[in-house]
Amino acid sequence: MATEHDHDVLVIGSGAGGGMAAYVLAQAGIKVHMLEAGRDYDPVAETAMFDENRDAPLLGAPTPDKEFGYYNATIDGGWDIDGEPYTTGETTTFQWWRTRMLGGRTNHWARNSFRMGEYDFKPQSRDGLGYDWPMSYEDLAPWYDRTEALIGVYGVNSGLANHPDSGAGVLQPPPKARVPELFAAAAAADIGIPCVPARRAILTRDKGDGRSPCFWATDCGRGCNIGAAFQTTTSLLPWARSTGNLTVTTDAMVYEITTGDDGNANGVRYIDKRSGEHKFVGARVVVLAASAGESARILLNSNAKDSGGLANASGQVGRNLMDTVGSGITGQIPALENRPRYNEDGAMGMHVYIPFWLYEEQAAGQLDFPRSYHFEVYSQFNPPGLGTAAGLDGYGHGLREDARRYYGSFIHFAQRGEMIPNPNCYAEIDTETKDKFGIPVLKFHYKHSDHEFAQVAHAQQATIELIERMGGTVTESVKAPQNAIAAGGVIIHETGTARMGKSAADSVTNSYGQCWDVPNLFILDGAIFSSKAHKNPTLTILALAMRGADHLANEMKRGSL
Amino acid sequence: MTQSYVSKIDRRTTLKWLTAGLSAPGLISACSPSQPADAPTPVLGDPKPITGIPYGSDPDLLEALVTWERTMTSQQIQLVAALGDALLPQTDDLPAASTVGVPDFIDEWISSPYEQTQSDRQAFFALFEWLERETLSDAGTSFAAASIDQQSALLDRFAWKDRIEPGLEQQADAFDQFRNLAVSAYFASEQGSYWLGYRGNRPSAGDYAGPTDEALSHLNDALQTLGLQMPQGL
Repeated sequence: MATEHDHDVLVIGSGAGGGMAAYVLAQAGIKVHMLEAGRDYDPVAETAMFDENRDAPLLGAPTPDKEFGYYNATIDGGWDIDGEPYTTGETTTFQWWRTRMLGGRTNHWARNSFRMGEYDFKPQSRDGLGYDWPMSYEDLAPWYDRTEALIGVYGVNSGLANHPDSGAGVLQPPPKARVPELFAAAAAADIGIPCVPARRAILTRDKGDGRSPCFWATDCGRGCNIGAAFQTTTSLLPWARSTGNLTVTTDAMVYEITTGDDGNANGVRYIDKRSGEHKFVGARVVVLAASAGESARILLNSNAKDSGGLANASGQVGRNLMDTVGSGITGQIPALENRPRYNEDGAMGMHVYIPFWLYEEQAAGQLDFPRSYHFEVYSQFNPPGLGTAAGLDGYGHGLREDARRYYGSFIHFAQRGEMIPNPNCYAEIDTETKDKFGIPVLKFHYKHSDHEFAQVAHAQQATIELIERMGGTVTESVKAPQNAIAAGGVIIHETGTARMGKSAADSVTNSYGQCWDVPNLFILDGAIFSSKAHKNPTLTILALAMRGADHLANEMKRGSL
Repeated sequence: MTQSYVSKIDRRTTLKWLTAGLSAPGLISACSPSQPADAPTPVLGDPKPITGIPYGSDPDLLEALVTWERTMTSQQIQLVAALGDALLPQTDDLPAASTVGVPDFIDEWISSPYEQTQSDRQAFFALFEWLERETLSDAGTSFAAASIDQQSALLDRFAWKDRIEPGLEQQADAFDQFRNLAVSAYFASEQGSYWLGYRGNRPSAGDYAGPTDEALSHLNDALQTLGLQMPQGL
């Protein structure tokens, strides 16, 4: 087996975790080689920024080819990828969103960037459920500051419990709220619910790093060719490459991490998708950041002589699979009908949101569910297209007037909540099924518990109260929580499949993402989450990867790796 | 409808060379003829079979192309133009649906090689045939040539969700989806979009301008009516 190579660290994956790890290591002068399963991708050259829905086939509607619509920055991906199946247990509904492109899912994400707070790191200590992180908020706080300052996040310090403030000067100013957001904030305030500026990884000021601040147009989900909306392909990856220390191989489908006689990782095997050849590339250190699902799959498919997979003495690889609890209710608000028009594109996503506000009541035992959730508030004069006809009836002149009257009068409250890991939620290798490359696929098992259903029920009541306080009505009958909750994977926050912990006995890595069993193997993606707070995970993946890669660089310089 | 519908020139070009040279077995096997074998001869003619291919998981986003040809017969197109114009008629300051190319969009939709759109194709063609046969028997003319009153007399049987004539539930469902698509295409057009009031997709430097004084004044009135306070600091 050839072991000669001119890099020190192999990074598997180019999304949030892999992009940040490569950037930190390259900055530290370490030679990095990155493997990405998808094709090369350049948002500057490929993003259809100003094209209208009418310019796309089928008005840009979602199709099996492009499940988030024609212009969405997901290439060769979606819930289903041709020739790359995954399977589920008999009673499981689980959906797995993947991409096959440089930058991964950072190219299309919502850019919502909320810090985990002090409660979120110690959930088991607080309520006896789940599993504590092997670190506290204070351990990660400086890395959140550095991450936010590097990528650019808009927001303000609201001083709310378990929603930490950022360091002085870290955040960029948020955009002004739109009319429906002000309306929602007014209703929320009247009920005693906070509604504050959202935090999103979108530049509102020029940082002098080659990217431009938001120009208040175009859907961030398409990607951003001016670099305002954070994605690794316009930031971390080009910055890392400019050091001369990062090389990238795309179309490299990794399926195994190899180990030497000493048990340490010594390289990876992948399939060159262009030639179909199986290739090996050696390394001193391997960073695995292929996404929670794909990283677990690679570990479980490695070390075949031990059926438990690599770095899995604890048996926790693939276990503790979590996704954000998701539900949503839409209201129609008569007071918003026929409101004066103006440009509401703004930063396209939300400008304000509703953080969880009942920690004291929860601590006092007044709530019937543990943990917390937030509401993302969505309402604006959307670019017309499919969906503009929502709620219409009849035909003729009245129909057209109705369409204009209703336009911009709907508001959607998306609940995003914490899920507690449970033994029924895990991914394993399906020994019966292989993908088109011959690699055994993942089989998902997933089952929510009553904790999640009770949380959804609470969120539904709060939403109805908000909509009614706005003088509005709920547009559809409210489903039972068991039916209203998004199926596993659907919120695309899958985490936990190689959790970090204090002990090698019940976790896969330490707080730096370093595997207990394989010290020169680091996992730096959503897999290492010990719990899944209601906060959207990407910012935390970035901060953990920055901290883990910094630790790795120091260890390498000290010669201990 | 006295003038017949003429297809609009479209920035999105159907790739004729692609469909012409294509065999692509398996891709379009689900696209069977619209009528079962024992169905009566369609009064609107036989549409072309689906011959296009999906645009795939990595299409050129900057040069968006429709990778299938439209398949409706000229009689179907005329009916769709009339039905679309009944939904969205011309006014003094607004074009009719057919003027902004809605019939072409409906044709593009039902000619595309996807499961959802193929389901719409079946439902729409059944609705179109039913409309044509009813007008022929009631008014002795095609739907497209019928008067507004004659068209309305038919539509009123299923076009309103709380007034669907028993037995016409399938027509009502098909019409509801047709309405969704036609209205969406209408308001996605340049003229429809402006009339609806979309003012975005225009870049601007500096901070986001936010609501206009007029918009804030309207909001303030609404909040006062409900006894709510204008929030500060947002």
